[in-house]
Order: sequence, then structure tokens, then C-alpha cells
Amino acid sequence: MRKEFKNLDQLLKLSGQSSDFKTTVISLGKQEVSIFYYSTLIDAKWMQQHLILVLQNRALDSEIKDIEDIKAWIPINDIEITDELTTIQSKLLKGYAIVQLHENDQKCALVNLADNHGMRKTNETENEFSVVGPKVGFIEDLDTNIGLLRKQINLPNLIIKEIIVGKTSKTKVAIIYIDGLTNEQTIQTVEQRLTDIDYDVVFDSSTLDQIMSDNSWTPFPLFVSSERRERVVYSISIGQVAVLSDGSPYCVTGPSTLFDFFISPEDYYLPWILGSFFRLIRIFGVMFSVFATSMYVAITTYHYEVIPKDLLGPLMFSRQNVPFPPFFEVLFLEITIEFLREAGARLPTKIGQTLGIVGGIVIGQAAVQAALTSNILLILVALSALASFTTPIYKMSNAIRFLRFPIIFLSAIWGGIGIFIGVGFLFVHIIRLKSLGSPYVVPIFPLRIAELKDSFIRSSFQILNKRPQHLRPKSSVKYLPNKPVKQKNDLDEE
Amino acid sequence: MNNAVDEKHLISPFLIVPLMYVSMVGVGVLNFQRELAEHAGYNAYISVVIVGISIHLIVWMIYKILRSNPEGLDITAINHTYFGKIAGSIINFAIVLYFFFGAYIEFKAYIEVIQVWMFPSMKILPISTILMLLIYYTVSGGFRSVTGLSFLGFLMSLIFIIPENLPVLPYLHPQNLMPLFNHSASDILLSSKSMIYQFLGFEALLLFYPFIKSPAKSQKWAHLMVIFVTLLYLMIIIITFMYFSEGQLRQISWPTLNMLKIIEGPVFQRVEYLAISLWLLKNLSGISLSLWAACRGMKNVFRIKPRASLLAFLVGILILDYFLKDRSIYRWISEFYSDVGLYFIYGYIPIMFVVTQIRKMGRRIAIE
Repeated sequence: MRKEFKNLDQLLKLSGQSSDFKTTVISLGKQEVSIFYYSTLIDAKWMQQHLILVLQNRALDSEIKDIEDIKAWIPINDIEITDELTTIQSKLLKGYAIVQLHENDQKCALVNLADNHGMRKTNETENEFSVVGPKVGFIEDLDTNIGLLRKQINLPNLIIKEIIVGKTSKTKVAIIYIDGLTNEQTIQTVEQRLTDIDYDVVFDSSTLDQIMSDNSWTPFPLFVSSERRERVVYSISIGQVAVLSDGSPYCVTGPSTLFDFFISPEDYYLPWILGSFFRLIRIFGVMFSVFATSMYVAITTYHYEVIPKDLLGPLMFSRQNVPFPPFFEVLFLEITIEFLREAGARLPTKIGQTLGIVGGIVIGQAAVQAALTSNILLILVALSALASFTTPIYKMSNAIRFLRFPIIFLSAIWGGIGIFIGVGFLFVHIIRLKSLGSPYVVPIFPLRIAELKDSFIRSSFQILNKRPQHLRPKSSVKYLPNKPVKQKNDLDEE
Repeated sequence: MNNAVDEKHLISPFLIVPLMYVSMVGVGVLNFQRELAEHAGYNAYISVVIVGISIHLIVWMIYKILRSNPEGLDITAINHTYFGKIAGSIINFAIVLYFFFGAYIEFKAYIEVIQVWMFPSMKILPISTILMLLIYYTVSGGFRSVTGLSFLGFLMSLIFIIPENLPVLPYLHPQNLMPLFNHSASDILLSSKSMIYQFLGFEALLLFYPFIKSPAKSQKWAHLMVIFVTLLYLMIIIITFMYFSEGQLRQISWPTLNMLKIIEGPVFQRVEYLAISLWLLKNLSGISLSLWAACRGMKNVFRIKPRASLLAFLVGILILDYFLKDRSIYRWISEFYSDVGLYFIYGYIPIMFVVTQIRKMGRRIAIE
């Protein structure tokens, strides 16, 4: 990997093998100053204006006697004079230019000329869309993201701890929390797990998410990762820890609970009654998505007695030409839907839409006409696919889509009992899960009545003035509940 | 012997509620009415009340016994100190076996319900194996996950109580209960004996007591649960007696499930299928709790790793399940278990209570 160099020359020689490593020699009167840099990492215009021109102008009056002079001359803040080869090497790769006064000088100046070309400048929250609320999202640049957070958390005790992760990528990873609010043990755990990582390239914060997680034998995401700023700000403000990594527009927050994944920021922008209603719809959607098709299998295979005869007629009529057992019928359609989803995610946007229509309507219709599946099942599968996408966090909706398959298998073997065997496994599994050492299904088990007011439902802001206790925040009150504006009971003001 | 429990494994006092529920309400709730009516006829509801009250007394004694000893000690440790190493170990092993057979009987009873109601020709071994896997997964998660599953089982069966009884109400015949007292006291006591069998299982409290955070606070919940479960049994038995005539009841094996049959919704009928499936979770948590207690006992007495003894127990249940096809042997085992249980809660626990009180007095005299 990184080589040890004996002197600066050796380093320059090796770097010179790359075509984008440039050497500029400018002559200032009698002197010749050499500048070394990677042209692909720096801002050329900036260098011309603030480094070369300034040096040339100053050289008209006087001579550069010492390398330290450069620090005073050049109007760039981030200048370091050093002869340490490791620093020079790493900074050169981060977009610094080396300014060397004389040939074979070991001491040289490192001038920061780094440029973020190739980065998006803004990001609309396309993947976590909400109708109301801000649309600002994170981008691939760490500093911008931290800036975005700082703008909304106006506190001097918002602490950002930077560590370097990844042997090859040397990615900057920021641990963000509010000092005096977030539980110290949580911060320590995050820091410990991140520093213990031995990994090569950190492509995305989702990688960190998996490396940090308490248990890798689970389909459930153990940390919320979001590209929405306000979501992350909310998490930090209730005492969670956020982790951002350079080059990733997703922020990982934890410790998370299962409910965090079904909360949309929109719930808080709508009146609490509507917010609660939509949240309940979402949770019902998840239940439906996981169990609808397995119940179809169980009922049509074993327990057709549970369907009243008025409904049993249409159900059996739609199935009468289907040659397969219900299990294969369901599996066929479920896998078709998975194909559509996977293809839709990979295809370019424009083709994707067309293919969605072709796949959805044409294949569905044709499958029913060819008697490969029944009408009712088609409706069920389409509905459950739709329901699985009501989950605001994409990672969770993937987990939910996965969960139905084992349950379909179980229901094909043992009918209703099989479904509940699946439920049993699922429930014991999520009870055993932990996110950064805190339980995963927290307001339900261990039961915390006080936290139920922001779980299945979203209560009014009057009541939601405390931070969730399972995070063990150091101060539990978010704000004092405002007195409601007094309203006279009407009846013509009595 | 020191068996103090790490802080992070403790459960809050309230969570004793689902644990007491799953241990006191078993598969028996589906068919206990018939056996009860065998002796005391339609006066059997009195037996439910009598047993409920006596269980209160036993729970009170259990708390007294455990509280009089140093904190963090369960019954196995107390046996060691009271009866010495060898006699204590023998008693403890008996307790372990008692819980193991409790789990086996509960499991077998549930499998029987599945076989009769849902899949008459089902092969036993595959479903037993997957249920054992689930139990292994639960118990190996420690007491916390056993409590968690119990909590879910508790909620699930709680949801069902009211809707399963409401539709029956129009078809009740209160005159069935008349005359109020036409059986002798001995008949009622005989019925009580079969009622006790339904309650068996709550003795696991003797072993999980150290796992409760500030256990003294849990006592009120424990008593509350005894009241709740007694009322539940009472409600079910009175509704059953009013729904079926005495002659009818003799012909029916699972009266509770038969009552469920009449529920009909726009998209659902024959709710007993759903009820049996839902019952799975409650039942598995009861079995898990018993097996957990047995493993805990093995660990305390013989220093055997709980995971190893758990595996041994599960394989044991599978083997018993596979080879004991004869129903009469199973009936004999369950009758024997219920006799042992009777002596356990009405003999052993009061004796322990008395010994504890004497020792306490002795200590007080020694101090003075």
C-alpha cells in the first residue's frame, strides 16, 4: 500500500509516474520556485490567481529568503510548512500543492488548493420524498453536509468528531452529537466500533452501518440512514448519534428502534390526527404486505372453511383453471413483482417507467388469461407490493419484502400454524436485536407506556415534549409544553 | 451458592404480568370445562373460585420464602442451604424434572389440538422439530426473550378474549346454572383438583424471581394476575355452562373451540382456526418459560451450561413425542404430573414457608 520514502525526491519521482501529477516551475527574478500538484485534485484557476500571481507580484519587490515567508505572502489560510514526508504525502493526495524553494529542499510549504469538482452542488430529497416540508438533502461532500446540519442546530455544543476510516480510501467520517445531551456511552460505542474497523474503501455510509451493527445475521437495518436533513437534525436533537461519511449523501443515525423506520418527517408537519392516521396506515401496510399472500396460501391450501360461502365462490371460481397449487402460484407472482422492482431500480428513469407499465399491466393480464394465476391473487400481490413501499426508509421496505418469502414457505407447509411459527421466529428475532446496545422494539418490549405516544400514533406537540427515555439522554425535556390558546366553548359564548 | 444476576438481564416488575399469564393459562383453557363438570357438575365454577383463592395464598408464601432469604437467591440455592448439599440437589433435580415434564405435557397437549382440529393426518416430527427450533431460539436468547415472547402471547390472547365471548351472549341459558348448590363439598373439592392442574406452571416464579428488578414491587402484579386469570377461567366456565347443557358438554372435547365456531364475519368464519394458530405463541412462551426454568435449575445445581441442558431437554421432548404414541401413557404422565404438582404447591411450598419462618425466628432469637 503506502510506501515509506527516504526523502522528498523519491516521493516526487514516484508520483511523477502519473500523468496528472504536474510540476510547474516559475521564475521569480533570480529565483526559481517549483510547485508540485495533482492537476486533477486542485482548482487550477485558484492556483493561478492566488498562488502564482501573488508570488510573481511580491517577487518584484523582494526576494523569498525563507520558506516561512510564503505563509505571510499568500492569501490562503491553510498553509503548512513541514518536512515530514508522511504529512506531505497524505496532503498531496488531498489536493494540496507543494511549494519548494530550492531543489532538494526537504522543507516545503503545503498550500490547500483542493477543489470539489465532480460533486453535486445541491440535492433534492428524491428518494425520501415528502409533499410538505423542506426538500434539502445531503450531498456527497462532508463539509457541506456538516454545514447543513449546523445551520439548523444552532448550538456551540454540537460536536463533530472526525476520524479516518478505510486503508485505501482514507475516508473522513464524522461522528455528530450534542454534548451534554447525548448519552456518553452511546458516543463511545460508536467511536469504538468505527475506530476498530479495518476496511479498505468506504463507498457509502451504508457500509459503515453494516460494520457498526450489533448483529449481522438479520435482514433488518439496525440504523436509520436518511438523506433528509430534518430527519437527521431531529435524531440528533432527541439524543441519537449521527454518522456522516465523506462521499456519501446518506447519514446514519442510531441507536434506532423498529418504529423509527415507520416514521416519516411528514407526520410532524400534518395535524397530529392526520399524522397518526397515516402512521397507522403505514403500519397496517407493513402487516398486510408481510401476511397477505401467505394467508392466501394458507387459506386456499388448507383452511378454505374460514371463508364464508359468499366469498368462497368467487375465490374458487377465479382459481378453477389454475393448474398449480397456490404456493407455486403465489411464488410465481411474487417473483415477477420482485423482477419488476429490481428492473425498475436498475433501468434508466425513462425506460423504467415504460417497462413498469408493460410489466405490470401486460404480464399481469396475460398471466391471468393464460390461467397461470387467479385474479384475486393478482390483486393481493399488487396491493402487498404497493403496501411495502409505504415504508419511508428504503432499507426497511426491502427487509419487509424479503420477510414474506419465508412466511409463504411456512404457510405452504403448515397453513395458519406455519404463519404463526413465522411470526414467532420474527418476534423473538426482533426482541433479541439490539442497536448500539439498546433494545430494538423499545416502546413495546420492554414496555414503556410513556413512549407509546410517539409510536403507533403521533400525539400532539403539547405531549411530545420529552425525549425518549430508552436513549438515556442527559436532559429529558425538549421544551415546555405551551399552554393551549384558550378557546371559549361556543354555544354563542354562553 | 451465589447466583446473582447481572443488572442487564433484569426485567421490570410489571413484566411479571405476561409471565404469570402464560404460565397459568395453558391449552387447558380450551377443554377444562368438561373435566371440571365431571364431579361437581354445573357447580364446578365454585371450584374455580376456591382454587383461585388458594393460589393467592401460595403466591404470597412464595414471595415470603424468597424475600426472607438474601437477595438474588432462587429456590435451588435456598434448597441447598436448608437441606444440605446432597438432599438439596436431589430436591432441585426433582424440580428440574417437574418443569421439564410440565413443558412436555403442555407441548403434547397443543400438538393434540392441532392434530384434531387442523391437520388430522399431519406428520408429527417435522412440526415438532420446527417448534423445538423456535423454542431453542427463544430460550437461548435468555430470560429477556422468553419474557418478550410471553408478552406477545399475552397481548395476542388478550385481544381475543372479548370478541370470542360477545357473539355467544345471545345464545346463553342462565337457567342452566340452576340449582346453585346441588353437589357435595367433596365433589367440589374433586373438581378443584382438576382445576389446579390448569393453574400449574406459575411455580416458575421460584426460579425467575432473582431476574425481577426490585422484586417486591412485582408482588401486587402477581396477585393481580391471579385474580385476572381466576376471573378469566370463571367467565369462560360460566359462559360454557350457560351455552351447553350438561348432557351436551359431556359429548364435546373442546368446548371453548366449539363456542368459537359460531362467530361469523363478512370475510371470516370458523375463527377457531385463527384462535388455535394465535394460541401457538402463547403456548410456546409457556413452554419456553418452563424450559428456561429447568435450564436455570440445571445450571444452579450441576453447573451445566444452560445451552447444553436446553438442547438435551428439547431432544428429550422430541424423543418422548415421537415414541410415546400411545395416548394412555400420555394421560398417565399428565395425571402423574398433576398429582406431583398438587403436592408441590400444597405440600412443598407450605413446608418451605414454615421452615423459612422458623429459621427467621431462630435468627431473631440468636440476635437477641
